[in-house]
Amino acid sequence: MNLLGKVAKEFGEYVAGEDQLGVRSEDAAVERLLQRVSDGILPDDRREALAQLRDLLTGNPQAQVALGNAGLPVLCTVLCDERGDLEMVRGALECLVLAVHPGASSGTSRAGRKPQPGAINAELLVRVPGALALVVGLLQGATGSDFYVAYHTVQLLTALGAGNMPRLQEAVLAAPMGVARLMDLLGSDHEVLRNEALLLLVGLTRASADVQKIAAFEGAFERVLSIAREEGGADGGIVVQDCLELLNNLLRTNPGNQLMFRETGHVSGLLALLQVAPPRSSRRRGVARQAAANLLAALETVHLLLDPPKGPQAASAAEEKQREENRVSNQAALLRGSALDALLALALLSSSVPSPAVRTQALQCVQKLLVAMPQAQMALMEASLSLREGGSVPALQALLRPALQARNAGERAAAAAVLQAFCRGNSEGQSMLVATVLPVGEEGAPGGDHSTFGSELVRALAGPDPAAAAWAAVVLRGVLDGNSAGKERVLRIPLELPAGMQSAPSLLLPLCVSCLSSALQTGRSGYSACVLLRLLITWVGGCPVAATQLIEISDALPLLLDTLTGRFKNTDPVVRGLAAVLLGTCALPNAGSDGDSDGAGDRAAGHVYDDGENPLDRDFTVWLPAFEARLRSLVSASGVAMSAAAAKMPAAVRPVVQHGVVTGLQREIAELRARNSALEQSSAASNGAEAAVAQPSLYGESGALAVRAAEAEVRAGRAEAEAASLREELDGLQERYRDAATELDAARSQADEARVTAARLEADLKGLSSAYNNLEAHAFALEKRVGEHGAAPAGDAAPGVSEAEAARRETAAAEAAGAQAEEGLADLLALTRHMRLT
Amino acid sequence: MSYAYLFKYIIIGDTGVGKSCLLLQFTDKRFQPVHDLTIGVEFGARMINIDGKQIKLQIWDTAGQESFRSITRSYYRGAAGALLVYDITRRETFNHLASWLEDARQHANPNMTIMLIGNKSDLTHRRAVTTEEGEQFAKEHGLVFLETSAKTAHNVEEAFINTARKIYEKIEQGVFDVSNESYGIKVGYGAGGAGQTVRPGELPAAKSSSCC
Repeated sequence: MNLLGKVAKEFGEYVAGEDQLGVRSEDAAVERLLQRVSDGILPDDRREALAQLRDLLTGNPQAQVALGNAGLPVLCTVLCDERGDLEMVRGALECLVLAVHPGASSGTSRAGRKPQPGAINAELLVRVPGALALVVGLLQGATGSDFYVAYHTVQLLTALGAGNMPRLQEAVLAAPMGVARLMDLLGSDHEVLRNEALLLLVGLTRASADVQKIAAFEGAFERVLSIAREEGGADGGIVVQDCLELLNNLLRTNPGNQLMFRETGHVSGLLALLQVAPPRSSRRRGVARQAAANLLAALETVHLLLDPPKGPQAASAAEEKQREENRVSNQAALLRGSALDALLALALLSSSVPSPAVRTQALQCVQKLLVAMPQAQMALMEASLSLREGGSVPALQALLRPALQARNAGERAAAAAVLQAFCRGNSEGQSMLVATVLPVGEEGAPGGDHSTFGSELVRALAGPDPAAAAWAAVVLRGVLDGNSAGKERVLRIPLELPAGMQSAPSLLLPLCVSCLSSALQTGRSGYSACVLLRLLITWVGGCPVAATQLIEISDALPLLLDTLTGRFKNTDPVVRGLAAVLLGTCALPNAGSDGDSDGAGDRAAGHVYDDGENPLDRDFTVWLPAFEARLRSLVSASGVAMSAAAAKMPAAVRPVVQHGVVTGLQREIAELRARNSALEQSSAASNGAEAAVAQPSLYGESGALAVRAAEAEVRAGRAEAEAASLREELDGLQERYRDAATELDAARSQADEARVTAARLEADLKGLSSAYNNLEAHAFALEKRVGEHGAAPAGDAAPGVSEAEAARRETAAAEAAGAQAEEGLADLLALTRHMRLT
Repeated sequence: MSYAYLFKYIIIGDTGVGKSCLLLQFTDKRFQPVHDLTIGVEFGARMINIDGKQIKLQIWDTAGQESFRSITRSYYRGAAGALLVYDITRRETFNHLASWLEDARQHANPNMTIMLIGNKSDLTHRRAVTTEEGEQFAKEHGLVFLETSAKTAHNVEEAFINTARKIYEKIEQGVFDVSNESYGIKVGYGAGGAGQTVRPGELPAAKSSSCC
């Protein structure tokens, strides 16, 4: 075709879309060639026809369509009948590969509208009876040892698997040596062939326990790890990622393979892949990105071993037990292989790959390594990291920095979760951390050599960055949780050496209260207030000394009451609820701290901080109803003697507290309900997302999503149950509240009556006192007159008044005065009696 | 843990003859009277000692049910030893031995060592296959024979260890090309030479140039 003709043809196609003439010509050409392939007599002619067919199919969707239904069986027949003729087999395979080729030429927008001819052909080929078995069979015997046949066969199988993996898995399993042959190809000297086989195996091992096991039997672990090593480990290219992807498929939900992986000592091989070469200044960005992808895949392997996802069916108790045993064995094997050091280096040494995702994943792995494993907690306590600039820092202190300062929220939450996992059930470790809270005066300059875990924590708590302060509170809570000795000890440690003997030392508890106060007053962040309240609840719980000290802080009670009564603007209902709980805890410090209830919660610990911004984690919501019940009994027993701390509350405050507790809890429940439904939605959404991202390029994420979705589901379920029980509790509480309210009304009316009586009494008293005043004035007047009379006979006897007369008048006056006074006294007595009666 | 050799075993035979119980007795030294039906294949491992050499046994316990036959066949090729198990109290499991053997001969490597095991020897009162019959069958087909009880652990160690000894003898005689892992044998460190997982003529960990 000359140039002009070609242009005209393309133009014609452009104008007419699917140009009839063009299609027809492709149809005819394909048909003619197929005819020659199937009916040809001379082998050379048939080979030639196959070659032409191949050229015609290359990058030509219309030819792909034309080949379709009729052509595929013809090519299969060639594969079947001409096995001896390697060239024919190669030719037919090449045609088939092109026929099912996805066809990169057409744009994605078109692909969305109608199915690709390649995909249609793949589906048609899978349906040709015996075709899959035939193609798989080509890998064996003489044909299988031919490089081109093996190469094209693997390519063809990969394309067929993309459309219908279960069928392909079935076919490969039905061939006795199917997986074994592919594993041989994985050891091929031809790198191209090896890489193609690797990709095919990644697909085949997905969600098929049988293929996974056979591959493991055929030495897949060893081969995959050795290829990854040869390709440069974590610093290697995409082949390393493919290897790790295959490894993850082999281990995911397959306890048998995990056992084999451990038993054959491959853990160390895996951990070796977590090491990265020190960065070179010339490193290109793309290379670093690939290294991050490799590391993420390797970290996913660690994840799979430490937190094996559940199988599709609901597990029985026995299965659950086995799962747990398997997990613990994996944990121990990883710990023996010094996984902790490798993970910490990846998470904390900034010289490694600069990827927050990698650091977060590594931190999550460390956390899972610590779950219910005292040896791991011990190892972390002793671990230290040598800094590039010289010197070393304890790993725990190094973990505190990302927990407080990391820019990425996920990383911060993950680091905090590691510290919490370290503290959980580890009173020795907690005490060690408490001991690092030192007076500021004892250390050098901030950030200097002498800074400790405790001093960095306190500095962050008091510091200007609200987020860092909040995370410091979260960490401090973990350090104190369930450790009453630590709680008391921290109460006494002065944060700064007192300036003089007379000034009081500054302590941590008042500092927390003032932080809370400023968080509430600025309305800055409900989250800060929540975590501070939770810290105080944990601190006070099980520690009466702390309760007493908290109440004695002059601002503390008014602050909490103001919170309860909504004195602050925009107070989150959760904050009010927590303030109520804190007051309750002060009244009842021995109701058990919320750390005590989590004996069974160790496994759950792995899930607690997935959404780091949720101040109400599961343990807390589990603990709350029990505490609430205790508090309720306290409320109903009002008037009965209470604990010492409660007695210190002003009597008038008590009804307010009760009211606050009830309304606070009510709001909290509403909040919980809202959160619950949100969780449900998100879990539904992530389920959907999981289905959507089940694309080969995103399988890692889909795995993680599946895990997250499962977790979210579990949590949603729990939250629902909790909400139900809380609702019941609420009904009870509301009743109590109504009772209390009526009592309060009664008391109020009594008070009113009393006030009226008091007013009357006051009036009476006033009358009485004025009467008394009158009386006194009168008595005074009388006395005066008596005095005058007494003076008159002495000084003025002359005016002719006889002395007898005077004496008589005097007596009469005295009598009159006495009578009057007696009368007044009777009045007074009567009034007094009246008062006493009323 | 380092080992001189690693041998891969498979355990085959009809369903319910006690394959999983034999494995459990060997690896965990315990007996579980009620055992779930094996689905597909289960894995177990243990280290043994022969002539002062540490030998690691990797054992794949297969499902006996017919429906899993095509999957279990995938394990034949790569195994160095097979325990072919029947139940002395159920005659039909003995009668099926020929078909199992044929399967093994077809798919396994010709040097695979097969040990014939008559299990449940503790149930003497229900015996349906005599010891002599078992011995006779083994002799005819060139197998090693033992009667075992997974319940009492009688002969269980011997069954696995004798098989390993037999394979070890074959290695000493040079029957195997031990460098070829598809025979189900792997040479570890401590077998005398250096790790021989590298095939002759192939450079260890050599990076071939990428062509794509």
